[in-house]
Order: sequence, then C-alpha cells, then structure tokens
Amino acid sequence: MNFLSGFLFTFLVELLVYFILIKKKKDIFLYCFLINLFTWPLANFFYGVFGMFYLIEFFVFTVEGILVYFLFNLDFRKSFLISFVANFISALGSFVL
Amino acid sequence: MKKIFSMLMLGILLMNLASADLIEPGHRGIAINNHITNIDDYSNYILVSYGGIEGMCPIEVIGSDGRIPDYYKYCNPSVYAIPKEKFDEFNQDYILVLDRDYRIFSREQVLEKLSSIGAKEVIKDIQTYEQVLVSSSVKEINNFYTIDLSTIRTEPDDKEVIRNDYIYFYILIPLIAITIILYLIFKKRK
Repeated sequence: MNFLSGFLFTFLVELLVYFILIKKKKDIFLYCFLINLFTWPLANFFYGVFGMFYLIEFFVFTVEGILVYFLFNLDFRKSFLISFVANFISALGSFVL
Repeated sequence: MKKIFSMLMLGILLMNLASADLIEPGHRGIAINNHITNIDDYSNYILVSYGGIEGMCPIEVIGSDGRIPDYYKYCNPSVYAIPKEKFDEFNQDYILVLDRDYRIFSREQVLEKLSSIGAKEVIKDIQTYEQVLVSSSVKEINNFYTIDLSTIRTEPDDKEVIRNDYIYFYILIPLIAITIILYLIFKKRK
C-alpha cells in the first residue's frame, strides 16, 4: 500500500464511522479530512522512526478524540468513542491489507 | 522422524542466518551508485570491480562512463586497474571462466592473478547499499571517486544525496491541517 492509498483508506473508513455515529452531518467531510490530514502523516512518520504501533495508535486516538470534541461540539465521551471506533476499524483494515 | 527433526533444525538455523539479510523494521534499503570521475585519465588501463563473496560478487569491467556496477549489498567490492596489454589474458583465463563456473577459482587465486599481472587496487570497500529509516527523505546516493594508481581510496571524494518529497508530506501537511483546524475551532467560539 503506498502513501496516498494508505491515507485514502484511513480517511474513507473514518468518514464512514463519522457518518454513522454523528447526527449533525454538516462539515463532516471537511473535519474528518482535516483530522486525518493532521494525524495520519505524523503517525506514519513516528511509526517509521520508533515502531511502537500501539503507542502511536493510542496517541492518534487521543488527539482525534480531542479534535472531534472541539470540532463537532459533542460530549467528551461520545467524541472519544467515535475516535476509538474509527481508529480501531482503520487499524484493523490496515493490518489485513 | 530423525530426518524430519534434522530438516526442521536446519530450517530454523537457515532462518536465523537469513535474518541478517532482512531489512530492519522501520527501515528501507536505498541504492548507492558509485562513479569514477577520471576514468579517461587511465586509457592504458582497464578497470574492473570485484567483490568479497565468491559466486555472488563477479568480476565486472567498468565501462567508459566510469559507473561501477551494482553489487549485492555485502559484496563491498574493490576496483583494480589492469594494464591494457595484460587484460586479454586475464579476461580469457579468469573472467570468462568464472562467468561459466564461479567455483573454478577461489577469491585468493583471483587476487593472486591480479597481483601477478600488475593490477593495482585503486578503490577498496565500496558501499553499494544502505538502510535508512522509512521516514527518511533520502532516495539514493551517488558517490564519486577520483582515482590515483599510487593510492587506494576507501572513501568517495564527493557525495550527492538525492531526496524525495516525503519530508514535506510528513511535516508541512500536518502543520497546515492543524492551523486550519485551530482557526475553525476559534472561529466557532467567537
């Protein structure tokens, strides 16, 4: 999987999760895109340097949870749930592929 | 049962040996291209490269472009300057013979023959491969050697590092994204 296809896969999977779990659909595409544009390259960079996939995924989940909270104005719990589900599924998918 | 066990042990042993040839996690291999810049100064010589592992690092003639051929990463070849009048003999008796069957002459025999025909080693321990981090921006490296018959070079005189654009992707794009995100968050709160 090259860089572009890896990013697209993660973004589309997370977008699907956002669509299912978030009621207000306004700006979902933009926010999901920006969140992944921020976390995906950094995660890949640090994974290339340090390995430690699970630790990096934990940071990604945390950062994305915070960004979902602020961008979508959801409560903290729901924001982190969405982040967890989205990252779990995309991580699972990247293992399989 | 004994046979199966022996095969299993051999397989495990070979796997461990093979791991030395694998790329470290988080790393990727890059090619190192080596060039001789003043090959034209030695028109009375034929330059050949020869590596350290029998059967895997054949004798190669270096062309007029001065490009040292690519080798398996552990070959660490040397370059030898052979007087032109002695080259045909060496070519017939060694290069062509070894091309057919590398086992006919050992490395020591080849080096002895090179010495006997007045060949001079001009470059030693050439690197042809390196491992870099996956996130490194280095794509390939070009090394340039200026040879001298009275000296054995162990380091290139000049080095050119060719980079890819990944570094911009890894750093600039997240920076732009977080700037936009922060702007959107502050805009919402106003």
